[in-house]
Amino acid sequence: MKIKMKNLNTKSLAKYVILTIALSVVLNACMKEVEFDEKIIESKLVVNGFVCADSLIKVQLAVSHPITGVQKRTEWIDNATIKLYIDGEFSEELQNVKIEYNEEEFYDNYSNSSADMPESEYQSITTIAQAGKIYKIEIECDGFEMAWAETTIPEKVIIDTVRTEIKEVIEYGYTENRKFYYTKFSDPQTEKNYYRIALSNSRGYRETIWNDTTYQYEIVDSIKRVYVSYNFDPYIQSDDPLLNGNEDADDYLFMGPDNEYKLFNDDLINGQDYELSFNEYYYNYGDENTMEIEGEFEHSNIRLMTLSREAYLYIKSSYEHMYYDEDFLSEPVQVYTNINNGIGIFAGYSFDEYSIGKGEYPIDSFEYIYSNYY
Amino acid sequence: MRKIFVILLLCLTTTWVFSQNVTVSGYVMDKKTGERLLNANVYDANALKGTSANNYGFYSLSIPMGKAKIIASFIGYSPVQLELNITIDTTINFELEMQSGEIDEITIIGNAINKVEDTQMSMVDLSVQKIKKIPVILGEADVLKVIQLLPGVQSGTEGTSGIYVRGGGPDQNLFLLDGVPVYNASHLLGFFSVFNPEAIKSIQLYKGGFPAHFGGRLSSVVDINMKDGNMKEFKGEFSIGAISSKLMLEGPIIKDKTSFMVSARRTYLDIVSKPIFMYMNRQYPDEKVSAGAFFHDYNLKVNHIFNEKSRLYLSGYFGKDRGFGKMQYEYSYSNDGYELEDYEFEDEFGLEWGNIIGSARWNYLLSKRLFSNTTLTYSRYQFEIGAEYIEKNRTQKTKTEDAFKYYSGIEDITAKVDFDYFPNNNHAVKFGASYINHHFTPGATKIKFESVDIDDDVIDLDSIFGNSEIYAHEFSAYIEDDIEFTPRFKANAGLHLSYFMVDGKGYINPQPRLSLRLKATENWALKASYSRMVQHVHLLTTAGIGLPTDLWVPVTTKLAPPVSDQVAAGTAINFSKGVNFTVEGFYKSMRNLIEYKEGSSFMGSASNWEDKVEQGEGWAYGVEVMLEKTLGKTTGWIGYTWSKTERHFKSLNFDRDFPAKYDRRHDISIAFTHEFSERFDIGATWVYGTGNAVTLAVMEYPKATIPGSGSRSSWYNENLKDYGGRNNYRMPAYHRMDVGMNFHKQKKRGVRTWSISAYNAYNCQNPFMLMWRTDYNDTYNPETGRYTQYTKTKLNQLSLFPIIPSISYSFKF
Repeated sequence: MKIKMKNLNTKSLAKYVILTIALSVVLNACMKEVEFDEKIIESKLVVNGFVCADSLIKVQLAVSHPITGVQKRTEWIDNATIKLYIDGEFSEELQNVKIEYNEEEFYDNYSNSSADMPESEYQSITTIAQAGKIYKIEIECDGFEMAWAETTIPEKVIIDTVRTEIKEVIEYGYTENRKFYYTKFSDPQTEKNYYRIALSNSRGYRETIWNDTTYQYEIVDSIKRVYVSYNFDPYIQSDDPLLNGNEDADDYLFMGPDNEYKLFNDDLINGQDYELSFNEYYYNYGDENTMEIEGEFEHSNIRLMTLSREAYLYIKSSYEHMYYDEDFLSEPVQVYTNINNGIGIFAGYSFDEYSIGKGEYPIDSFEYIYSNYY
Repeated sequence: MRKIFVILLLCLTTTWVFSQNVTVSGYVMDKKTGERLLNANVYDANALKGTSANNYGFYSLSIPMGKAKIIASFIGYSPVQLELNITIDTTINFELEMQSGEIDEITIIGNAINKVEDTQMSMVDLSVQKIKKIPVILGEADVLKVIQLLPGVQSGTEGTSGIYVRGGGPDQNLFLLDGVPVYNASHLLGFFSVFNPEAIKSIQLYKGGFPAHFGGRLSSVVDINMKDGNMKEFKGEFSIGAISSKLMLEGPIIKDKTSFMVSARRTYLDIVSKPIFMYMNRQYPDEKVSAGAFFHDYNLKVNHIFNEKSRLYLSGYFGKDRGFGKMQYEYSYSNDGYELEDYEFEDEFGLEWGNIIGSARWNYLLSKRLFSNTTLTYSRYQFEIGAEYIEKNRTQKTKTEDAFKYYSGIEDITAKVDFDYFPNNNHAVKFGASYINHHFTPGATKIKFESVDIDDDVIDLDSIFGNSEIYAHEFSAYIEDDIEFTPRFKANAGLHLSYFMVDGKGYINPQPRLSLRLKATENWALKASYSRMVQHVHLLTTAGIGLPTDLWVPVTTKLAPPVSDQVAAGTAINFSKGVNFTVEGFYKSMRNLIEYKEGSSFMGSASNWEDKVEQGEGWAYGVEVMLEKTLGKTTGWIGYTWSKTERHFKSLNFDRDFPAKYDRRHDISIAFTHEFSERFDIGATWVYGTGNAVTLAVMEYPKATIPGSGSRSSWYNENLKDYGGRNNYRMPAYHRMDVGMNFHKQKKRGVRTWSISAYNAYNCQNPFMLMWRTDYNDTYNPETGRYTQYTKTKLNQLSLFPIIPSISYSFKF
């Protein structure tokens, strides 16, 4: 059993006291609005596109806007010309295609998010991205110099096995259940590899009805209805050295960014077989036999994503950028970009997925009702 | 190098053999206190030959046999003149008296070194009297804050004592206290320096043209000497200020043989904060909170004269800062939803840091022309931070205890020997060698965890991690000669050779130094210099606010030592009435500098710090102008610096050049003091500086959806910020005026002084930090049935210090 103890109170007190000492000398700090020197403002072409192996190539275009003043909605561009080259050869011109959102996705318009979702994006019509190939895009757009970017789609790395184990751990002095995942794969020796490990869960529970005699909710054989809920990308923790490059004694004291997206590279495991471990908080909703009831299930999908270097750097830097935003004691992090004459990202990746779990799903005789995330 | 030695020896011996001179040597000292006067001048008016005393007040002058008119002088002191017939080598000790009465108009407050005569350029000699009269924040006289007012020196964060010299970083300054390096020169998170003015005799700042006997840092040397202690009578001084109190005592142990000096200082922020916490705790009886911070430091020096040839100095410094916080509260909580359980919670936190410095120096006069000084020093800087968290369940009688302690530091033991050799009046040779044993402890964390459950079962964990001690060895040797080719043309040529060994890898670095002086007229000199400097330690810091967590680490097998090459050229003119004018231009290139990678924590880095930094290069160039008045009732200076400082790191700022954080195009400082009478004097300073370069987001753009992510991330769909480059934006310009006045009165047992000062006298809201602030407004659209959020973002400036008046009382006896 691994024991990991962290004390948020102590950590925050440490930082608090240091800052308090500093501020106690400062008798009367004050804040005032000052004029922003707008001479340095320069709008840039924003190119966003993660290209997945075996998928269409999709790119979104926008214009960056000044941070100051009344916030403007994102100005998406739908009249640009994007030429696609594969291994140096012209392949096709990407077409602007309307994006179909579901209601839930669109609901995000009222949230704290400041970005708007594009109504359309540029897609390849005939080209399906393939691992090992170099993809280049050239973007011509009025008011901007021609922008370009290129990426290689990495070969996917196959997950050999995944095993799971439920353990009790002590966290903040309290005991809780955690589900540990051990994912085995072989890192290719020939090239430098960048990875992301991601998890998604789905659970299905039979509908129950209230029994006035036993005063309990009970499953009735005749009602073959299963409520399905999802947890895409749940928060996972890990003590695995591959996933903890950012953690050391300082982070214990003063905290630093977690490896939020569980990124890692093969510096420590180049060309080796490796069993990566991570865990998630686990709550058993019913008794031990819950998942043995016909129709009920609990499935986990482990996705091992092989990222291009560009994708790895963009994801890593964008998280750190957000983390350190407005932290005046740290040097701000600029987000990586591989767009020449613009900003954003055009990067390839591929993935392998492994499913593990209990209970059969789907079963023809059952009706499934899909609910929100849990 | 062998060639240089041969040429040097030939040069020395030829002039020596053919002369028929005698040597007059001895010490120059203060008549009242017996303090040796560093760099005092000794001159034979008949032979028109002169020399300067060394750092221990020793001089050696070769003059022709026969009648001599020897004059010893030191600025602010009445000169002493002796007319003698000298036929053999003679020892003469001069006792100079400080000028007083009518002549008081030319009381010191100025440079002891004649800027036209001296080969040295880019050097400022500050007097302690000057420092005490210049108003600073909270009325606390501070050496480094006065140094910040000099051209070529930028201050860091407002109110702190960090210095940035000619485009260098905060770790590129060598602070020497009685010849011992001080690693952390600040107290109270950088708001005060560790150098207590009451205990200090002299301060010299070198910005360039470094003599060969200095080495180890790229950008500056701040050479501070403590008072030796009064050899004649018992004296003392104490003061009570707004934030600290000080006491200094000095006197003879054996008159004219042994003396001591001791000083102590303590702040009382912790005592002042106590009533605030008592009031808070009375408001919330279930919670008890206390916190505070203070520092105290002590200087001690004892010296003993064995005989004319031999003298021993023992000096020490001990300083400690402490911050603490404690929180206790009780609460009830139900774990099962039915029964309440009583809990008791205690969270304690403390941090402590400080320097301990000790040195033993033995002066021995090997001959009338050869002075030696053997030194053993010890310097330690240590930082500790600890916390303990205890939670008790009084109902279940269980306990969880969680504690950690983090410590880091550096410890040096140094042995060195220095020689001053005066073969004749045309040469003043210095040579020596040293060895430093460095012991770095870049950080270790001790964790303790104990949990006792209801069945008295104990889970226990007690371990240390991140402990990475590093030992390194640094050898150095130097030779320099101050050569007078003709009365108009002088040069100081030297070589500093260093060898640093860490983890089995050695770095050898020859560092040539050259300074030239050409006197156009008696009062006008042209000067030029070149110096290469190398340093073997780095300070891991990003905020530049002098945090105790800043870590000293050595160069490693991966990271080569930083090297700088600096050329400077300028002119110095002495006008009448003690007015000096200097102009200097410089260009400094630096390589193998380190910077934190973007986003790396500003706090101390325990392990893998090499992975958190980048190595790159930097350069700085500029012009410094200083008009200074050193004599009379009104003294002070006007300084102006135009400079540019840039950095280039391959992995930072997308491989593009960027301005350094403290790059300032224009920097003006005016400092003056005026003595109306013996009872009343005033001081004022005014500073203006181009705003600091900061990394400020200027544009926003949508973030690409991260593949494989659900909606868990709170930053899903957020905009990203485009900075347009590191340090891309200039804060508004900084300017401030400080004023102060001192009221002195002769009392029966001494002189009392009331000092009243105001920092930021015209209450300018100077920029400390820029930040965007967003106002949010929700608007309901009845057509869509949705709320739409509108935001307006404005740039805001945080200012720290408004006008801060202060008052202090001191008594000198």
